[in-house]
Amino acid sequence: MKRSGQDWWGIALAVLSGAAIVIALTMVFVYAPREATMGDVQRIFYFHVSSAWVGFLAFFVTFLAGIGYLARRERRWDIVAVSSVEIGVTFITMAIITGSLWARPAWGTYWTWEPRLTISAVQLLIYVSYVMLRAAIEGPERRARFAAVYGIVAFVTVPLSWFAIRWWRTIHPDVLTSGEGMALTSRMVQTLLFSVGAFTLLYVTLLRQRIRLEQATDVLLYLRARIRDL
Amino acid sequence: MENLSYLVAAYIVFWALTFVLVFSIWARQRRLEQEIAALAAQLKENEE
Amino acid sequence: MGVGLSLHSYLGKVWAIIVKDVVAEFRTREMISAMLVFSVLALLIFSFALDLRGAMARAAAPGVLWATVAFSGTLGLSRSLAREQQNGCIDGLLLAPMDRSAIFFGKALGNLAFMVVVEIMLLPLFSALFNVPLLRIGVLGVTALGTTGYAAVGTLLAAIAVNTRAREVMLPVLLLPLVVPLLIAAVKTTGGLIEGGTLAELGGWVRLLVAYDLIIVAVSMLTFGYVVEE
Repeated sequence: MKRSGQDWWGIALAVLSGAAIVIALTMVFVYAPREATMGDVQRIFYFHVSSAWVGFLAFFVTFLAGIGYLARRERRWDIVAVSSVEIGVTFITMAIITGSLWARPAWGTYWTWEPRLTISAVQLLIYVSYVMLRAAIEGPERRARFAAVYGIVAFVTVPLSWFAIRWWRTIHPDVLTSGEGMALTSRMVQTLLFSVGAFTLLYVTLLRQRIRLEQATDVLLYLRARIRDL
Repeated sequence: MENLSYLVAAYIVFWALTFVLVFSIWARQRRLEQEIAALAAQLKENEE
Repeated sequence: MGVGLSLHSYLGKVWAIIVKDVVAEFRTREMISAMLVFSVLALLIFSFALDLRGAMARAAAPGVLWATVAFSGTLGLSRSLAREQQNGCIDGLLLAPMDRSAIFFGKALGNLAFMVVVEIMLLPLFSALFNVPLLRIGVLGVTALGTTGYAAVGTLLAAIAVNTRAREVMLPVLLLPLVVPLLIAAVKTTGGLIEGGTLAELGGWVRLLVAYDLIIVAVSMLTFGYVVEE
């Protein structure tokens, strides 16, 4: 168990990701140009795509952690899995809400079955199922094992869902889904890439904190057991 | 442009969700650390 | 270990499990009749709720068919695995790691058989009610492909669900988000075939179905052992 001192890595990461987000925001509102057709409302795009990316990345990490757990059977893999899910759920929800807020001015409706929104919805549902599964299992070993299996199988279906949804939407192109309808300039691409990077850094920071929280929970359970045995 | 309200709302959502997540983790961490300290002290007492 | 294990004895184990399940079901036929009755009721409810007549019925037919299969499938899957747990058969079957994939194939193929039996009885009724030509080679092939993938991942997830507090209720929650690509591809292909499309035109969708089946069967088989290992 680590001695409780100052968490230098945590502070450094927090400062870095905070700075990255601030820079990203500046780029979004100042550096990126005003979009031709949609106007300023298009600026939602950068953080919308970035949050969708983190939602997916978090799921991928859970997938890897599941494989790791089944291979090694060490609690730390399960800790990563459950921590990543909590962060992933938050960002996928963010992606869906911001996507919805963009869809309304862009296409006149709060919901559209456009590929990124739809796949985000599917991922959110899978996340929720994962959490419900964990909640319904007693015994930490079984919970970790079953969750690992589900995380693996579920993640494998996501690329397949992505292709299916895209083809589903392109066969009947409506005004809603014929491309983003955006004129992308190089400044926009840079802003997008930087936002994605800033969000990834933010994800790493939050993941680390959530992992430490889960580790502390383990310590607490251990201490409680010790006291019970007295 | 009246659409700016959507833009503002979207970034409020970003901040709100991020803040809720960060605060939630921080609050739980604090509560846990307090309980851990209390239990550790209790254990120490009993061992003396 | 494994020295005397041949393909012949492996297939023998798989076959033994299938026969055991089929014979057990044949005695009471309760699961298949429940699935069939449920499917017919689902058809009726969809017809009433969506007011499906004439052209609308034809257009909605593929979707209604696959939605019905998806929902009634969860009935059969939970039942099949719950029965296994009740009788404690699986413990007797768990002799060696090799056997776990044999158990998976045995259970999955048995579940597939049950679903196919129900579909064989359902399709003619469906064709008549919705006035669509479903009894064609193409449609039957797609139905078989779709049901295969569904049965594979469903068997894996049913094995997990049966071991949770919520038991059967957990299965639809776990299963349905993962069969999204399957359902989209199956509906699109079935619909295309009804409209007289050729397999060449629908090639992309069929490839997606096959890809889904291959990937999901592989992943389910590989992870099944971890679910039943206790």
